[in-house]
Amino acid sequence: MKLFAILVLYIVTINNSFSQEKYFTNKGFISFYSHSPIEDITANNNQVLSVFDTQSNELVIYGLMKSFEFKKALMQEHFNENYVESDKYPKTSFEGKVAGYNSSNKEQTVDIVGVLSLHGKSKDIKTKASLTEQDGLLTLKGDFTVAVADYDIKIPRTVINNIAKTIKVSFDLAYKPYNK
Amino acid sequence: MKYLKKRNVQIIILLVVALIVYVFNSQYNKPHLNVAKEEPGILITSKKLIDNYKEDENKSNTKYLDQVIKVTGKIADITTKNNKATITLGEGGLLGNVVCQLLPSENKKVSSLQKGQVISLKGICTGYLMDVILIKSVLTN
Repeated sequence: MKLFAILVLYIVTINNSFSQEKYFTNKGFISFYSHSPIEDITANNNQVLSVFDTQSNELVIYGLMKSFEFKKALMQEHFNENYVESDKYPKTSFEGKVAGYNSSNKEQTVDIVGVLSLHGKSKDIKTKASLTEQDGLLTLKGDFTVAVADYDIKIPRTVINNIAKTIKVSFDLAYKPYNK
Repeated sequence: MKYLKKRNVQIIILLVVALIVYVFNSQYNKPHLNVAKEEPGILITSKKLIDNYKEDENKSNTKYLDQVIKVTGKIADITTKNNKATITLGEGGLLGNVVCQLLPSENKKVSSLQKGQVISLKGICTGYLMDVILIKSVLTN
């Protein structure tokens, strides 16, 4: 798990002469949403770490599973203890690239390709996102869906109808330029 | 007599069902841990907490994860987004701070705080990325 720390440090510190082209946040927002006929479940994480290097187009996102907050305490408990096993797999990560970024556009749609890891499994993710620039700050927003089964998450039979087979993941990352 | 017995059985079944529904319902709707009322099991400075995590993340997780911790440190940054305030305790470098998300009930108190002030707050530790992270934090004295 030290690996990602090294990667972030690497991305953040390398080529310091271009540091204005690296963007950073440690208060990014990620939520997921499960819709089923019985109930809708939402969980929010406001403490996501991300670095976007506009020069190399590298994008990394890291979050703690236990930082996802649910409306119901019981759901949060089940999520951490039974489904994603947060004690065993405390982190989720996305490592990939942003394609089609043009720094002269204030508003644009970009393609994001990379690997999403959680619960000890990794899967390729491909999605579109909106990237806006305002007053030197970048905001990356979008959503995609993941299949619960892809990440080897076992849902007990008793609640199988309460939880969707595919989960919608939304992200809203407001970056500041990184200045050392 | 027979009728009475049957009646008793019906009442008992009804009571048992009501009890099951009650237990299920209170479990299903059980409230989140009330951090404001919780006595913190651990008191620590933001620097010490970070140092411990930098030294040994796994060991620190067994000690701090899911615990209500009271952290004292210097405010490096205060931000508010979606009506949720976040206070960063530490020296304010890019990495190695304690990032604490506060409960909305604290918003008013947070608005009177300033960078550089030394404060204490308690919250639930959820782990370590490049910072140590607390959720559901409330300000303390």
